Amino acid sequence: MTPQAATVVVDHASAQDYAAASELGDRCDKILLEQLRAGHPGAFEQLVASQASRLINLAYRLVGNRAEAEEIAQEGFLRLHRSLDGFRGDCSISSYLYRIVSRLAIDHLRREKLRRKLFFFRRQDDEVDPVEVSADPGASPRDLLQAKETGQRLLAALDRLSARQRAVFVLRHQEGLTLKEIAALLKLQEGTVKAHLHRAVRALRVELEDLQEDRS
Amino acid sequence: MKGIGAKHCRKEDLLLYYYDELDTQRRHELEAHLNGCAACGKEWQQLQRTLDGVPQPTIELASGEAERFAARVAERVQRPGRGKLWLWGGALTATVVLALSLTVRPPGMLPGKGSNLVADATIVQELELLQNMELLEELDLLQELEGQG
Repeated sequence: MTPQAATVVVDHASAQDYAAASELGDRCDKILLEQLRAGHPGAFEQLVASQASRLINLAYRLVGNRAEAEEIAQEGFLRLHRSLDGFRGDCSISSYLYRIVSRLAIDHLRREKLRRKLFFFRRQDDEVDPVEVSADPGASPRDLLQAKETGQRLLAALDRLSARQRAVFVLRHQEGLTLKEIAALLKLQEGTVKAHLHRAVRALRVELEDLQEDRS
Repeated sequence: MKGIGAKHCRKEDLLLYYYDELDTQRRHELEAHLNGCAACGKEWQQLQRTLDGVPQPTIELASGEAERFAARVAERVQRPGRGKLWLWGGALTATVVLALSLTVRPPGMLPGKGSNLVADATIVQELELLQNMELLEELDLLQELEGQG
């Protein structure tokens, strides 16, 4: 079998796997939805436990604070619960939750910006930084220090972006969504999403420039 | 990307190239240009280095943490809903307090030329704006999500 033919077989198999997994996911969603609507004991808690990590991380990347991220994720689950009766199942439960949490996080960022503007409030520099939370336990003290500094600088730089620029950057760079998916999620034109991404990256490059020079 | 062979690459295109968001033809044109242009090659390497170096903040939930979080959420679901009454109540209380502080002034303290009054009114407006924005966002999101589900 030529390498090309092998690739085709593998691609075909993975496409079948994906379709099967997707079908299985749809069926699981339907069962879960029925259980939730019927008030099945533990069904909602089980759903929350299975999605918690993904959604807390999404909110955390968007707002940069763990306590606020948990609060946002919690609110997302509560809203899903409140809208269960009207949930038609046009999209999967996980996509629905992802969308709610993204929008809640963006609203939260906007409110925070307005609050800071009104009350001259600034985020404390000594808050737990993102890199510290996920620090590699095997890293050297120098690496940890550098990672911490990069993390703090990134947070500070992200804080200076508008809520939409920050959301677009996080969703594209850290969550791996395509520009098309981001446009659908945030209800924006794809061109607008590109412009937000470009501005966000330009600002981040300026903020992180000296760190890059140190490394090189 | 007209004339990309002769002109330098646009930064926007390099960014889209990094995220694999260029169509096939544009990607080939850009790659061909990068192979022959030192300035664009340098710009591309810098962009790559910056974006590759951006950390990926991740919270690793410890064992049992997701379950505890789920239990907290389930507990909140069980609580009797306060609805949005507390928000309206808060807005009303804030308005009454501010209205009283503006109307009930010590005798002899006149509004003068109105500079203090204007400043007070601006703060009231901004506070109300914040409160109203929160209420509207909550309501808008709820309505929208109910429609989409």
